[in-house]
Amino acid sequence: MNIEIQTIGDIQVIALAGDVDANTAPKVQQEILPLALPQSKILLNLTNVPYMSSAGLRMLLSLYRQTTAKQGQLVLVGLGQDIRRTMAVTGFLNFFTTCDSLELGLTVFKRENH
Amino acid sequence: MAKGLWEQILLEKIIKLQQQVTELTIAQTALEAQSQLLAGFVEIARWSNPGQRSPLAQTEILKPFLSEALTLSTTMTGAERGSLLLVDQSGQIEDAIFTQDLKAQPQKLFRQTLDRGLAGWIYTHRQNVLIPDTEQDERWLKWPDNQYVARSVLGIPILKENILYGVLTLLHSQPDHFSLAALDVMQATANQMSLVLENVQIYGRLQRYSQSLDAELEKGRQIQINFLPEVIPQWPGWEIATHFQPAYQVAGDFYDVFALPQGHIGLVIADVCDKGVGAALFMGLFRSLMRIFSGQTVLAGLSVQSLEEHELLVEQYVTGAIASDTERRNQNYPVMGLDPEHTLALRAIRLTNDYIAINHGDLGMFATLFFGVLNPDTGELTYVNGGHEPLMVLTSQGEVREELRASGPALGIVPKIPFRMRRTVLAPGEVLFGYTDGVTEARAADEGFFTKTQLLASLPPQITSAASLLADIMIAVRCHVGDVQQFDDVTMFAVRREGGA
Repeated sequence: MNIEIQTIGDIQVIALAGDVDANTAPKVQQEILPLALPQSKILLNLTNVPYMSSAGLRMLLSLYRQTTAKQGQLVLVGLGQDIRRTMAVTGFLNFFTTCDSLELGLTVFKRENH
Repeated sequence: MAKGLWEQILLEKIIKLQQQVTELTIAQTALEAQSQLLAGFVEIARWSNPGQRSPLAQTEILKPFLSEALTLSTTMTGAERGSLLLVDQSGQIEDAIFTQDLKAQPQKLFRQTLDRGLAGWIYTHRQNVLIPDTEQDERWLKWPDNQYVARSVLGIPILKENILYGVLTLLHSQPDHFSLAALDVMQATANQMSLVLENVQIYGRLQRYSQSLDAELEKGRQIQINFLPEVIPQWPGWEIATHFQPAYQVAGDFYDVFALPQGHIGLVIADVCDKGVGAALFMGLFRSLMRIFSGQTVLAGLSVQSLEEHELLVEQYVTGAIASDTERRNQNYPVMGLDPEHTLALRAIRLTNDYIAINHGDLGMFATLFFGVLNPDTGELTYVNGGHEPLMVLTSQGEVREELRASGPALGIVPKIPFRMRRTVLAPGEVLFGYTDGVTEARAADEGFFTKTQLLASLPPQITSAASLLADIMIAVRCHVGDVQQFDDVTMFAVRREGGA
């Protein structure tokens, strides 16, 4: 699991690479949950995540709760077919803003800003 | 040149060569001894790799290794005798190894604290000792009944980061036997031995810790198994079969089958997110909440709600999309087209969801959960599928007649959200089949999932019993997985209405 964090404007862009499962999810959560500060804008790029287990969904739920509680924004981009399907069945998709690409994801924040 | 002088030069050269040969021989002996020691060390390190050998095998190899190390030490230094005392952290002698069989002596040593004689001095000072002549050194303790008189002694602490693991003592009957070079070589040897002994101690601690953890997990597993119905209740005209196999010792998957008031059957299959102890604890919580809130406990005289409270709660439930408060008030009670007994029980979904989301939201725990209420007389099944893999209604020909898809999100994500109730009827010969993603995500050695396609392909052409259906599917899953350690929890249930073609 590789986690890259960069800042584009006022948006924290987090790119994950590798499976998010019971082994890797705690590490991911530990690294990215502290980024959910008041009014923070977080973009999670999952383009290079082939598989996400329920432990990964749990991590997403924690991040969602943190950002919502702190009036922040969370956008997921690059969901693979399998992850999208899992998120659809479990109802997760209804709670998350998702975009196909990083470029589109970045514009979502801007639109919500102005 | 005079003949005498020439001879003298030659003689000197020969002596010099002899010295060099001797030095080389010693160096070679030392090198061979060291590499033998190193080989033993590598062996121990390899054996201490958890899972490869039992801990017993390691202690079995440790003693011969130490014995060999002692023999090598005597060879390298030309000592006549040697001993190796192993001490525990409080300084008590744990074990003693001697180059020769000293039956009388060792017994006296055990369980004694290393506070006397040369070993005691080394224990206190943590330094090596070279005694050229024991008669000139008061640190040397003579055993009165000992026939052997040592005059030269070399004592080396086996020390790592100020922890003393043992004391190596080498003896010779002639004074001035051991050189300073021998002392250096032995110090290097002792350093290697300390690595091995430290490794063994760490491994031993790890082993004990791991064993106690295993024991705790096993207790947890027993408790969890107790959470599942001990005997699957059966109803006339129906056959209910289940399969439960946790990947870890404790699991987040579960099923439940229980009797509801008025003779209806509660059916639950669920998958708590994540793995291990956390998932298992929440499994117990989800399972209990579902039973309590569905009214199952009314049977045992444990009802926690009055009838009025029941009615209030039922009013909050509607079929179809999210309803406004006005729509909700205008909604006829009970919900149109659904058995009121069933809607009463199904409120457990919403109550459980709210309870988990409100009280345990910080943990981000959730569960995909299907809850169905079956009328065994009519085959009518009312259900809420909270984000779980679709259950299937299979015909007796093994075909999927209907999929019971998610009618709401997984439980525990967000409080106060509506869940749709749906209804189907199981005809004679039909089977309700539910599973967790441990089935479809069972991985083969090449990492390939079992997949839903393979699951469908593994359905038998004729379903004559619920139990044999699950057995057929498990054979296909095991075939796919092969020797690979089971990946996820595998949980299934099948409810078959008897009769039909």
